[in-house]
Amino acid sequence: MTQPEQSFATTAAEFREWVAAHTAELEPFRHEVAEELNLAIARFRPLQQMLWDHGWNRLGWSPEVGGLGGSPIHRFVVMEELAAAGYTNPAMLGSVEIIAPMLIRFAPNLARVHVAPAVRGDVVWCQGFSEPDAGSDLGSLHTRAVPDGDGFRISGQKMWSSNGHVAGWCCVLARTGATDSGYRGLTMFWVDMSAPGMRVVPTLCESGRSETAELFLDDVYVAADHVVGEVSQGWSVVMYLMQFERGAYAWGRQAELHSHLNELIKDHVVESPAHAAEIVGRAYLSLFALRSKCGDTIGELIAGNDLGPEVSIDKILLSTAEQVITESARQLLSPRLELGDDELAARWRNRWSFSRITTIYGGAIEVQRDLVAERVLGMPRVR
Amino acid sequence: MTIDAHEVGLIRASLRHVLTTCAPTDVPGALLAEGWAELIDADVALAITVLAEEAGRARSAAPVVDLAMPAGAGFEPDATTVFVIDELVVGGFTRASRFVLVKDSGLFSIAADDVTVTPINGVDPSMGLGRVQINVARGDQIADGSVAARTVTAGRLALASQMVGAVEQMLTDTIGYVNERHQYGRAIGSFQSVKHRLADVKVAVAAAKAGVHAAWEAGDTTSAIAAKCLAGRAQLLASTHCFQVHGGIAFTVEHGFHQWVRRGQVLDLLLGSTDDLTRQLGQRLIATGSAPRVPANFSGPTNFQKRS
Repeated sequence: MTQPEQSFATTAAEFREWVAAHTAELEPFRHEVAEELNLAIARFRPLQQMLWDHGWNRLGWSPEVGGLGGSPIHRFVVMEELAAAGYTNPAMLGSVEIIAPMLIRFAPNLARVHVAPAVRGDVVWCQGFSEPDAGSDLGSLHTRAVPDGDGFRISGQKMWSSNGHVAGWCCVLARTGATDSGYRGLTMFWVDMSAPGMRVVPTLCESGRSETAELFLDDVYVAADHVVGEVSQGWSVVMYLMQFERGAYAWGRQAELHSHLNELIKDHVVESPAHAAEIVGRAYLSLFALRSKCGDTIGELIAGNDLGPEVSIDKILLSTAEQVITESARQLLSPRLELGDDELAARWRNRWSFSRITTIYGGAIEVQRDLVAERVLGMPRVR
Repeated sequence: MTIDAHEVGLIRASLRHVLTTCAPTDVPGALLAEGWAELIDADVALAITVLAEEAGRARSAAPVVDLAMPAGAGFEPDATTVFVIDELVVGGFTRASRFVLVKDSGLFSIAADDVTVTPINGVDPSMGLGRVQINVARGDQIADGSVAARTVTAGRLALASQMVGAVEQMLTDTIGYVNERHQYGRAIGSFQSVKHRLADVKVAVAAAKAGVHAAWEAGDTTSAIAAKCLAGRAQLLASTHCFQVHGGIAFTVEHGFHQWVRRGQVLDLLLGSTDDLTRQLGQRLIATGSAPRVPANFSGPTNFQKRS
């Protein structure tokens, strides 16, 4: 078993050996499949369980939350090696990487109970942030939480909740301050998706799948011990989470994108036109930029340094890489990508379609650019 | 030996002092007198990165590649060896006692007397470029192909850092300008379209800077090519966007912005332009059938970024 104090290269080598010894069990997890989310989750749950049983995805989480301790980099190394070996990381681990650090920092009691089942794959998490009238402008959200006895009752409508219709728990950002309190009057709650008053409606996306959901909350009761952080501290809590959405998640994605590009180079360049070198070169540059920057960011996050608005740079590099790589695939695979009815064509179409949303979700790229300009470069704020 | 952030600040200041007070031709000698050899012994990547960034920032015509290339290849530094890349020499070749030809097959030394250098004005006369004509059949081979590759890699990373420094300075100057310049009753830096152009420059230069660090850590030729491409792209983006938001004033000789554009074009083409290297990169990946992760093993948090 991997020891927390060993080198990352040793972890990588051990994991590669493990992969080599388990190729038969791993075979079903080669590619993501363009299918409905509940099926996709069911397909990858055994992988998550297998990684748990062998301790791989428990690396770097503290023993208090069910992990094996040590640096989280061991876990990132494992994710990357899995992708490099041509397998797909369970998508649900992505939301754990984003949400768990927030629970651990702001609600350690909840983290003790909830993190392990999510890492193991028993339960899926989602985020309840965006609303019909509050997308990138999150500080203007309307969902209200009013005190009721020892807890709160939440009412309102959330949307773009990725995995919302398959999730067991949700972190919901709601207004506890006055209507005009802006980002100062917000509080983060940990909400049971099966609580009375919670209604979930999947949103059919243009990929042909329901990837996100709308949440309708009608007086959903949340106990006081399910507040994440302090009341009215919601903005700091969500900004803390965003560092992981824009940083740690980006690290996981670059690993996947490397294997997507590998797949493209290995399988398809031979059939492609002479300008392939330029397309492949450009696609690689977008990944090289992402990986280099993200590596530094991960180091900072793990050292416990708050990065603040700098992380928007990573987010921009990630969405750029996502789109450059899928567009390169379209160029190299055309017309098979557009006209093919085979599994490979469907897979790349799905990736291409997903990449379109990467400049929108988690704060549109325009907002990220505003943040870089105003908070990193010190240009004037006017709003 | 580890150099901490405070020491990096001191090193940066002393390199900047040399670069801004000495004539470009005198920079190698002045740096040697100030302990350049000890610095590259302590941390060659840091030494080259900081020197090149500061040279880029100061728009110095000092022969940075002549200092970086031997350092990367592990040669004793000296003030009078001038490296010849693609028949070109950079910045103050009049100090040369010998020239070193950089070829795929190795490094070749040629006495200064056997070389004719014709000065090039070109797009950036202040850079002190020259075209080299060799008047002997062949020089003395002083190193093999693998050393030559390390030499080129160090040169590319130095040029990348020089572009990074230049872009960072362009960005600083441009932000100063757009925050001060008012039109329609407000600072033009408050317009979103202006912000987004400069944010994109910041993203590009941050990526290039991180790419240079990753390439030093990886130490291979492919990642040095990638890092130089990222820096070249940042340079082109900055030249375009920073020019645009300056408005007409950038078009005047008096303002001097054009000097950044000129210098950027020359730095980009030395040791392979962004366009050529991007294609080369693609050909390498296609030939090997994979997109390498750089560095291959994530070594965890490095202090390089913070220190430098």
